[in-house]
Amino acid sequence: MLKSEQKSSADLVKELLGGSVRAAARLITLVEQNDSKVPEIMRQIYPHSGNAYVIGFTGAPGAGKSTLVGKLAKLLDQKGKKVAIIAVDPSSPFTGGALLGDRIRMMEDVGVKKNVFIRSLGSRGEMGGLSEATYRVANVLDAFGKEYIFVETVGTGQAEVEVTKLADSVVVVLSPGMGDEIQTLKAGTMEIGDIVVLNKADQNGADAIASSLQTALHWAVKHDTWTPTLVKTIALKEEGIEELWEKIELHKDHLVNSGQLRIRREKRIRIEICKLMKDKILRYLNKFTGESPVFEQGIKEISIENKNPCQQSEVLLESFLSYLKQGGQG
Amino acid sequence: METKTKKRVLVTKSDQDAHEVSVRYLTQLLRDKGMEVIFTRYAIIDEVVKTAMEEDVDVIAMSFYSSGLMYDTTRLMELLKEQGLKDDIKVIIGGTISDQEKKELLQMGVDDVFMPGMGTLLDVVECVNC
Amino acid sequence: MFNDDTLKKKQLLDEQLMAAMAAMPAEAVPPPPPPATNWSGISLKHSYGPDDIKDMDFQDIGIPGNYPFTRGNYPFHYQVEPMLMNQGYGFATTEETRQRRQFLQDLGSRSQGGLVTAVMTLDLPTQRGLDPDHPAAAGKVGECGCSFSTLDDFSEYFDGLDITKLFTALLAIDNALPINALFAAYILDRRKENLADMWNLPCNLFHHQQFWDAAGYPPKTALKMSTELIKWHIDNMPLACPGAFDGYNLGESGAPPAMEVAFALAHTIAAVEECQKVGLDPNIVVAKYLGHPHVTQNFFEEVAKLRATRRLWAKTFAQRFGCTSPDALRHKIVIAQTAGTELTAQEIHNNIIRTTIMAMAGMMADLEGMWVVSYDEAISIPTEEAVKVCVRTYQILQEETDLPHVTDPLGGSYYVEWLTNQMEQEIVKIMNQMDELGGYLKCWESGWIRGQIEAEAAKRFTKIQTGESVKVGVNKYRVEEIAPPAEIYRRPIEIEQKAIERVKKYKENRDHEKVKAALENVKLAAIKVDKEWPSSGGVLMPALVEAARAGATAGEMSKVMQENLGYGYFSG
Repeated sequence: MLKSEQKSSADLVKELLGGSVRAAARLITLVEQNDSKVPEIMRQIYPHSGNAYVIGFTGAPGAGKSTLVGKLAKLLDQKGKKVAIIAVDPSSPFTGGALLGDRIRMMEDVGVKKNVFIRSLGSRGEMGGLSEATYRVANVLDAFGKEYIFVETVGTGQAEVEVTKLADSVVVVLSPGMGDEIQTLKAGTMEIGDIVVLNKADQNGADAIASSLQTALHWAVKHDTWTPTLVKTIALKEEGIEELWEKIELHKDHLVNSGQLRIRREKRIRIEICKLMKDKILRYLNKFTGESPVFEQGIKEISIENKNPCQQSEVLLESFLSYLKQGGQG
Repeated sequence: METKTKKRVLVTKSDQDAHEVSVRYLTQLLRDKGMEVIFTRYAIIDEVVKTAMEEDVDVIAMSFYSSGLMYDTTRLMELLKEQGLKDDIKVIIGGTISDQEKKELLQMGVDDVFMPGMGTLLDVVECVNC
Repeated sequence: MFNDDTLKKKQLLDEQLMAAMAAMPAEAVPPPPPPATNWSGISLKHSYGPDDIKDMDFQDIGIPGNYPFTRGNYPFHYQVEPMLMNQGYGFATTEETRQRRQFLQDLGSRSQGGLVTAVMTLDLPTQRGLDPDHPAAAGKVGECGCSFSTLDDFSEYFDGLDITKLFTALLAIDNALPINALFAAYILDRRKENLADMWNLPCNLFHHQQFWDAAGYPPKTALKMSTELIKWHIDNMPLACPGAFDGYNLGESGAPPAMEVAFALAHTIAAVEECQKVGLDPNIVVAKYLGHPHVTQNFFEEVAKLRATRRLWAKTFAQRFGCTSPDALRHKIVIAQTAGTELTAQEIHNNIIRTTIMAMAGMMADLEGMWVVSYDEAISIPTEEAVKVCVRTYQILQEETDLPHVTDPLGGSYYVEWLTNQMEQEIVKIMNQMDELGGYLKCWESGWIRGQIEAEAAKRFTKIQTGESVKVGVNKYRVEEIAPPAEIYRRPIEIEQKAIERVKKYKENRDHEKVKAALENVKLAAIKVDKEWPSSGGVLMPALVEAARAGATAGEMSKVMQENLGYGYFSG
């Protein structure tokens, strides 16, 4: 992607801190590509991040999640808050392409609002459903000055779990008429949702579902002293959005007061570091198994000298560690 | 894992314009070619520029069937120039366009124009890709 | 239907032919060509005989004018009443629109009862409920049709005309309730005439998101809007036909003929059921429906489809709803429209041939009326020259050929009767499929209907791109044209500015308190419709008429409705 002005990352970061939307967008593109420039960029970004509050939105498609996110962003914008929305959609494992932003429908609410920044990301091969770059993108937006960052995922099992690691508050969005899915979601919901939203609450069966969800939440196993709360909304008609916001703020206060917020964020950093380390090791391992003559020889030896794979893998692991130490040589 | 540079394309149309089939098909074809496609419908053309900037797109592909072609495109090009984006974003316009309108669009700085019967969607994809 | 003797004779002839072909040397016998498949997916033989319809109940064919009206709604039709010429048109200025209306009249274009058609296409902002001064209307005011938002606009277009002599239809889509409220207010307050004397086709096309990609009301709300429109007109404008059986837009968006009828009929059933909920009698509601099907160049498939539609309509409303009124049981196909998708931008005069074929299909199916589309449709709003050819098409078919002399001349044809049955079965199959999937509303809300249409559209699109579907002069037999650029209609730019000023002035010169109060009532009515349905059925339209009379604009009324009823993208 050649841009007419090839700016240095230092310049871009400077512009970012000065409030340039363009710089933010450009930096996001750069940190999405996990190449050698990224650590340097992140080194400059990190000192300015750590202020934004991240809210994850998950739940099966069709529940009106995007509409809800749009309405909440609109509300916060009206209150003068600076918001960013990161919407993650799955990339095709075959072509690498992705159809993004198809769900961002409430442009009318936030389409031209200067203080609402919307960025769509493809999962880019990440099995978890959240691109591993999402962490870095959130950091960029944090440094940009956004107070609230919404991360919206498609919510297909893995993505839900991923988003809990990234977010401070997790909102699970359900709606009536989802049939058996409600049952399965209930099982997972109790583990990940800090707040559960029953959207389209004017539909048939809503009250009954709300009741049973409320009961289930009451008996749910709690991670800390927070009891997951249920909020009923009709996002389309902007009903229940204020209430949702109140609950999010309550959760935030709880996390801050109980010290949980700090713990969660440390956990997030730990997870991110582990991920980066795993990623790097994997990269080297792929290189080793793909190119290293030592490895090739080791494989040949199994058939020639009748060595067994278990034993041989231990030997090759030793070779790999030397390979690593030599910076990927040998 | 190194991620290759992905081309990001904004495919968009007015939310008053009813026609959409070829646009949907186009997004599918672009996706099959490994591009990241952002599909939106806009109420006001200004939204398109905001989206293009925030999403850091390489191409904007707009489709017009019933109405709004000249006004919306003119305004789009104005805003892109204003925001300093014109040189970095390729603009492709397709739909019910006459020869005269095509001339005017190209004069405005639009990069490519696709009219009914002229070329297939695969040509559009080629154009986006190059 | 045929006695055994006849069938045996037919079988014998078939066997003799097969034997004769088998006896000939291989080189002399052409291999039988593969069977064709029509667009709805029905496989066709090379020829048909009595054996193909032997099991049919003669009652299903009957005679023209008799239930179930397969052969037509009347025993004599074109012999006394030519096919109605229901051309739609719409321009940015009143002058141009009136000019076009006069032009059509002078050419001899006639609709129902000799009325001149005033089927008016409206611009996108009006369809959406945006006044010309709304930011999202910028650049679109008057561009593909007329702009309506105030009583002044109605005065502009209708003052000085005898409305009782016009076959009026304002294609207002989502804005239908406010626009028709304004129309009523115009007649009552500015013309001081009787609503009961007006012919009007308010179009209940609120379910358009099934096949279009424009923003709209949520599905359940769409059905309520339709009910409000129908109820008010039944109560106040008895000559109006607020029910639109819209197959045209389904077909244009990609639905093959059988699918088109299945979805249109399923929607009509749902709409009539919704009307029943608020206490309306199906006998009356169904009689207020007019057919607006799609007609393509698939001549026989379309004829069969239209005959099957009439038959299914009669049977459905008699059996399922207990309708007894012949007016209800007769499906009146008043504005069938020739398919725009069949036309090309290359060698546009070929489109004249295409529309003629489609018009003939309409005649052979014994339709009441059509909208023959102009040959330049693919590139612009119709020019006078093109529209003249349309009018001549009807006139030549009616007055120079022998087509109108006999009612349902294709009746009794083995192929046509067989195909009519097949189409009926295919339509019913799709409708049953929807029932199995949880019902029509579920199919609509989940996006299934939209998905089906898109899939078909993609298929057809691919076929044209690959050349499997031929478009003469475009993907086959193409020669590079150095044709002079066709005259394209471009609206004068000042139109938009004038419209903006006009609506601004209108908003200044009125009783603000009165308007505010009236809009507040609209809000309350909308909320009632949203939350207290069906007991609140019938409250919205009267509130809108009052607001129109108080001076509210269509945009203001529409905004209140959209905010309180939900608006945007739904289904899937």
